[in-house]
Amino acid sequence: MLNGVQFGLMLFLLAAGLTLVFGIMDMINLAHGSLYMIGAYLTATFVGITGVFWLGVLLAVVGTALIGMLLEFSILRQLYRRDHLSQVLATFALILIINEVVRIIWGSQPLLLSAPEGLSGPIEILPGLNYSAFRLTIIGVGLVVAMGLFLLVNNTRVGMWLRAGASNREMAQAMGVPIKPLFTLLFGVGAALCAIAGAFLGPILAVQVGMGESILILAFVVIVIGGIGSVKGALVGALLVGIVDTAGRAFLPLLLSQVASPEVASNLGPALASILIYLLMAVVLFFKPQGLFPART
Amino acid sequence: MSLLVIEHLTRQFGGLAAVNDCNLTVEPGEVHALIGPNGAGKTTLINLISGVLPPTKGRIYFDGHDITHTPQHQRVRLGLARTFQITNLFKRYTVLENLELAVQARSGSSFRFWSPVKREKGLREEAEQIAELLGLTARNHTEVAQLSHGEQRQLEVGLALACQPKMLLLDEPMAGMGPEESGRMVELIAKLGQSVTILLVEHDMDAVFRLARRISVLVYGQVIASGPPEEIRAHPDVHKAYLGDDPGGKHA
Amino acid sequence: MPRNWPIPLVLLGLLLVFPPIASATGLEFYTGLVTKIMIFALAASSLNLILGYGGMVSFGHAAYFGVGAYAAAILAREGVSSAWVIWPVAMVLSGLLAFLIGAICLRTRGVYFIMITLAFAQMIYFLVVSFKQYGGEDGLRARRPDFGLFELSDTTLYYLTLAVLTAVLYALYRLVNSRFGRVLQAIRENESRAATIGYPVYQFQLAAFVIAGVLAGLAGVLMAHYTQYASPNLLAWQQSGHLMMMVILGGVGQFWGGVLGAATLLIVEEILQDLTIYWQLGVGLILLLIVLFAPMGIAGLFGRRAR
Repeated sequence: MLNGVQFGLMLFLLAAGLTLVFGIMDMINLAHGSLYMIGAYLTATFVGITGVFWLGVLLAVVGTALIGMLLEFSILRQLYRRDHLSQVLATFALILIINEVVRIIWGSQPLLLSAPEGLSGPIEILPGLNYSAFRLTIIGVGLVVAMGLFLLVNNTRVGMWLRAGASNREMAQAMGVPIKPLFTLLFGVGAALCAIAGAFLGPILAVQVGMGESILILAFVVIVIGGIGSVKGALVGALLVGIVDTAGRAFLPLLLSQVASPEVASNLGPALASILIYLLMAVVLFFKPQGLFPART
Repeated sequence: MSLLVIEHLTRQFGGLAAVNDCNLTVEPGEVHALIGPNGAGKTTLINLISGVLPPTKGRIYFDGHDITHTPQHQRVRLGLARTFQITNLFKRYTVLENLELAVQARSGSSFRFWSPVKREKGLREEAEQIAELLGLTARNHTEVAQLSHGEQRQLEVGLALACQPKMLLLDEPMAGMGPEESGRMVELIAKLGQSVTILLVEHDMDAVFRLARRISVLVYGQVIASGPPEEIRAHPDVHKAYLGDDPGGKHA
Repeated sequence: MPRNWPIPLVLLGLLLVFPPIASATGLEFYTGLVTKIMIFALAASSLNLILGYGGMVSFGHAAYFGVGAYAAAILAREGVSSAWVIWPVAMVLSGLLAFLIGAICLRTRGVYFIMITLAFAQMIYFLVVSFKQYGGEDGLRARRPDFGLFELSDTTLYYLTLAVLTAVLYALYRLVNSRFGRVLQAIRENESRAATIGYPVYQFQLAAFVIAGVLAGLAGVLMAHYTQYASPNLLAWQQSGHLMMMVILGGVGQFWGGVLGAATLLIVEEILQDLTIYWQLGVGLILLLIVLFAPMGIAGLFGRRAR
């Protein structure tokens, strides 16, 4: 259950950036997962150079944010006015390019990124219940960042612009919101969130080429469930997906073995668990084609 | 028997009722105008009747059928065709191609996968007849995007006409037109009104009073008055809600 | 007849005499490559029907392609050797799948449609991969089936694929110029108006979706015969992207878009793979440039406007 929350919070970091880009710029960015990968690689590199985990993460976050802004400025900006098909393909192309560049720089072997010492052991959170200290840290970081993001979106001028942009872009522009720098900034923030997720999931999952794609699709599922453009929806969707996915993998095979033969259960269990979140998405869309928290009316 | 009967029709958007417990009947053969101030729910009502939107409550009967939950395309088959306030055509197609599409929709199945549609002479001929009725024959092979605004508005009506409807729902056919273009449109509608029932939403009071045999006034999603033009002109509530305080209306 | 009708005929003639010439000059390898190109041309053309002519940006086309291949492989594994059984079963299965997925997805529009088609394709991917008895992540070997009339060698497979592709392209040509094809394109141009003049939009889109699924399934069967193997990669979302790439490259909604795109992309990939192990970098760059600067694709470069 806690694993689900932890995974969900990291998914939220990815999905939050994606949903804002999606909602405000009406832009599908498949390369979002690549930023996550870059974040993880940079973390591994900087941690290796500095030897200090937190410093490495900080440098990686800044670095990824810069790369994200550079991407927005050089290429993605051209795509805002284009149809979704062009956006899908152009950013699909970016995935291929970034994957290969990463492979050229870092090689195709997975990198090792270990959790900082001192957090690698388990700690007792409830009497008799041990939990990994690092995963607990992830939950903490996730919550702090999520709260920060909500404050940013709900209580600052930039946040107000963002919300205005999400509900009506032309109107926001007409009222003097500086759209272009705002978009670049937004991309930087989205990239930074990706990097944080990459840095903290890196030690748990593997740091390797292709890591961005599998999680990207999950992030898309999250924002589609939550409603495109809604940060709240992204949070709810991420937690839902994180918990359903983790719980499904843990309990479904057990549950099936109660009602079916062990052979069927061992076969069908993992299969069902892996498609559970997609089923969830299909069901949500069937009843609410705009997601749970539609940002636009 | 009335051609169109609307009973207690309601459509809510969030907390707002754009159409609110609305009752309306349209008799066969009449040109019936629907007027009302901006935001009164006229276009929403047209969307409900044509099936673009489902109603929250209430019923719609057309030609003896309960069509409250009938899909849009079947309402067209029953003889209910509409136009749009904002021109809504196949922009990259020519005038004839637009009309042929509409003719094709009601003449035989379109789930035919093999024979070339361009060889179907019947479609072409009917499309040409409608273009002639609209006075657009000279523009038959012009792409819609190249037409003038007035010509596009005429084609808008033409597409609905090509469905061979029993009843036309015209949503502000004169929107954005100059006086000369409006004049031509009024003539066209008057000509159509001789053979088909029309429910006309329009802001241009000149046109409304020239064309309509009956007028209904929609305010805050409800029909507050319905009757012949003279009666509506004199109706006190209508003045208050809509025509202003100038007795006899601005076109008296 | 299309305006440029001699070109396809000349191409067909060249393809007919290609294998003997290739083997006479010791270039048998290229017979295989051309077979692969023709298979992907078929798959990409089926996607072009819904993507280009129907305006439905399906990001899950690999599902039908892969299910066709897996159906062929699984039937072969279970002892069915006749192609006269395998082919129809595989096509019906992918068509059925397209019907189910399409029936749900077509309730949504725009971005949601793109994402939900992707989600369903992922579902199929994980489902198939989780069946260990059918190879799981390793894929499944598939013997070539029995046609009764002839032995399915590399050369006969080449001619079989050529025949199928020719027949399907001719049928698609009839289809896009038929009543159905015209309505499909009208819906792409202006869905709301198409509904307003009396077309049941959903039914037309679903029919096209199923036709595309069946044809993609057929391409999948041929792919399984070609590699004698059903790979999970055929179902992966990158494969959907790959097919979309071909369509865009060739020209969205241009009749020859799928064929041109498949040929161009596969040949470019082949060349790049010879040059460098980082060949995807080149593919990505080319795709990016095409999208940014030639959105009408290769067929568009010849100046015929899409309708």
